Amino acid sequence: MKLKEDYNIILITLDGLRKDKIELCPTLKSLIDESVYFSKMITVSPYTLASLHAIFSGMYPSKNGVNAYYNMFKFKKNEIVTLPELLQKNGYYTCCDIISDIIIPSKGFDERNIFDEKTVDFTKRHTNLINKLAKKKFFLFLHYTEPHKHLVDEVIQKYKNKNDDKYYKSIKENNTRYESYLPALDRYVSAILNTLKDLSLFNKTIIIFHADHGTSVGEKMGEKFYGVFVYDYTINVFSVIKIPNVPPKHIDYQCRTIDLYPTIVDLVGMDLKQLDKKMQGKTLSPFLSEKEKNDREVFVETGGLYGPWPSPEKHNVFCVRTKNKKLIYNDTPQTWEFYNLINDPFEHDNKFDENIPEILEMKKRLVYYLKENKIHTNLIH
Amino acid sequence: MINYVDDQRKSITISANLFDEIKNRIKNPINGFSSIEEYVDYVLEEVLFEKEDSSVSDEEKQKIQDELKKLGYI
Repeated sequence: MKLKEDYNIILITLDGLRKDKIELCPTLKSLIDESVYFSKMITVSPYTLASLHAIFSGMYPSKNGVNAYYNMFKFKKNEIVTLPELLQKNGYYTCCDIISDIIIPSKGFDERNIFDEKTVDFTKRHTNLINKLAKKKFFLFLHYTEPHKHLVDEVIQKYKNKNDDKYYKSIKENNTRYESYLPALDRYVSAILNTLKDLSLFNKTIIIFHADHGTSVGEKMGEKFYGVFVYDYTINVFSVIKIPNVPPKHIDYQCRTIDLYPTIVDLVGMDLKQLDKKMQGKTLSPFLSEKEKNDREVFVETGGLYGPWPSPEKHNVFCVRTKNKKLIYNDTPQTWEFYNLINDPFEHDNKFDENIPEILEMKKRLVYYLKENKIHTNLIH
Repeated sequence: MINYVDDQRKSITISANLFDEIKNRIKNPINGFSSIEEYVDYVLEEVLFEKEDSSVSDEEKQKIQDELKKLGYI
């Protein structure tokens, strides 16, 4: 699908927003009803640093270099053309407002702004930015981290050196705490949309709201927030894309966050031949035209800062997710998990048995991704 | 001794024991290797390049720690 107009693009990361909490965000929910909504967008890595580098490169973490917390400076900047870089080359003024210089690749921005999470007023700051850009053809990336700010104070720091049990026994309390972040988030979404309408930009802008990863509320022992495991509460996220003059559509096929970059390029009518041949993401446009009607298989990789087997230097937890099945390989303890996500959506009942042909096939797929991305594990030797 | 197969590939010899061990390992289809050469390439890449990639200077380590602290993770 190629649009004729020169639309602006706003990409907004709602950091850590769980998909199952959208119900509590009325403005975001309304926007979904008038947008193209990808309800099963799987993040290829469930923590911001790796997730956003993958989106901005269209490549899995181990392909783009940022494949561990400690590899935050290892983005292959000399080899990869980033999304803003390509848009900039095609006449866009590119701007971002981010929590830290290391959270996305630094290439391709005319203007990079960094906020102080402790003092920032996101609504004021981001609506001001939109006002400032109103007369340009622009790409704007906004990072909304209000839930992250609370999570740092109320979970990460609070439980850092204490007995974890209390956290995992308090799921109801954790849920309530998490839900208390949502009204502010929804007001923020509303303010952004109203600003675009006030400036007559709403119908001239492709607006994307998405989550970079979900957030644990204590479902699985060992993960207090995200980045440790690859269970659905952190990897199964969403993207809402409001495209002017395109009717709303819910797309329930499984997609990957690395597909966003080529999709944006495609939507604004740029030639897809400009994309890097090594790019692993593929445009999602065929889902809009219904030329594609299959779930895309996803590979996910992570390595936690904390948890039962922390691995900040190297990813050590991997999975392959098909439409309804998931195979997980934990490289440090060298354990396997297999879940049927239809019967067991919360991934409680590990059915791994390598004598089952279906599991064997998925194991082969996982090895394929490990090899394709040159990820060395204990699995193969 | 090195034998030059073409511009992209060159041949060397390895011990018969290693050869047999690799041959045995790649029999397992789960490993996804179609040849001994592919296996050797894979393992050598790990030895040669992964360690190189993962080397972090003390200065860089400090920067990483500072960033993680700023983000509230440590």
